[in-house]
Amino acid sequence: MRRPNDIGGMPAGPVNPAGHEIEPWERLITALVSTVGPAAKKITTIDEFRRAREDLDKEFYDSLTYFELWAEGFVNLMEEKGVLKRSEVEARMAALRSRP
Amino acid sequence: MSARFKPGDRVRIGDHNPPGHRRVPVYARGREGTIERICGEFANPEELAYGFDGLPKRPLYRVRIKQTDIWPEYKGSANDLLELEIYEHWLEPA
Repeated sequence: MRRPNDIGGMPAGPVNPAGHEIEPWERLITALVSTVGPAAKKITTIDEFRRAREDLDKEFYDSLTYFELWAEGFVNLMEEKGVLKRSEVEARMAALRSRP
Repeated sequence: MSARFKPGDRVRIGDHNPPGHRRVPVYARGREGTIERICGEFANPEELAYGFDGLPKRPLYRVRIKQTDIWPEYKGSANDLLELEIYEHWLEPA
C-alpha cells in the first residue's frame, strides 16, 4: 500500500528550493518531539513518530507544511500513548487565540 | 550476525504491498540489484513503528540498483546507480 509520504517517481510540480524563516512554533514542536523521544523521556521511538505522520489521511497530509505534519503526527501519537488528548490541545489553542 | 547475502550477490526486492509502515519505497519494489555492503543488524523499524521491540535484529544491506532499471524513461547515464538500504526480510536471491 502506498502511504502519503511515499511519492517517489509520481507526477509532481517543480521543487522549490527557497529557504524560509523558521517560526517560533516550529522550534517548539521540534523541542517537544525531542523531549518525548529516545534521547530524553523515551515515550516514543523515531519510527513511531514517522509512522504517525504517514498515518494521516492523504488529502490532509498533502495540505500540510513540514512542521504542520510534525504537529499533527505528534498530537495523534501522544493521544495514542495516553499522554494528552487532541481535545485538550484544541481547547488550549482556542484559549490562546481568544487572549486579549 | 548471520547474514543471508554477501557483497556482490544479486538480489530482488520483494514486490509486496503490505499495509502499514514499511521501509521500502514503492518504486523500488520488485527491482533487482547487487549487494554493495552489509550495514550491520538493527531492530526492525517496521515493528518499532508500532511500539514493539523489533527483535530479533535484522541484517541491513546497501543495495545498488541501476537507475535505468528503476525508471524506464531515465535520461541520464546508463552507469548511474541508486543505493538503498534494505532489510533482509525484503530481499530474495535474484
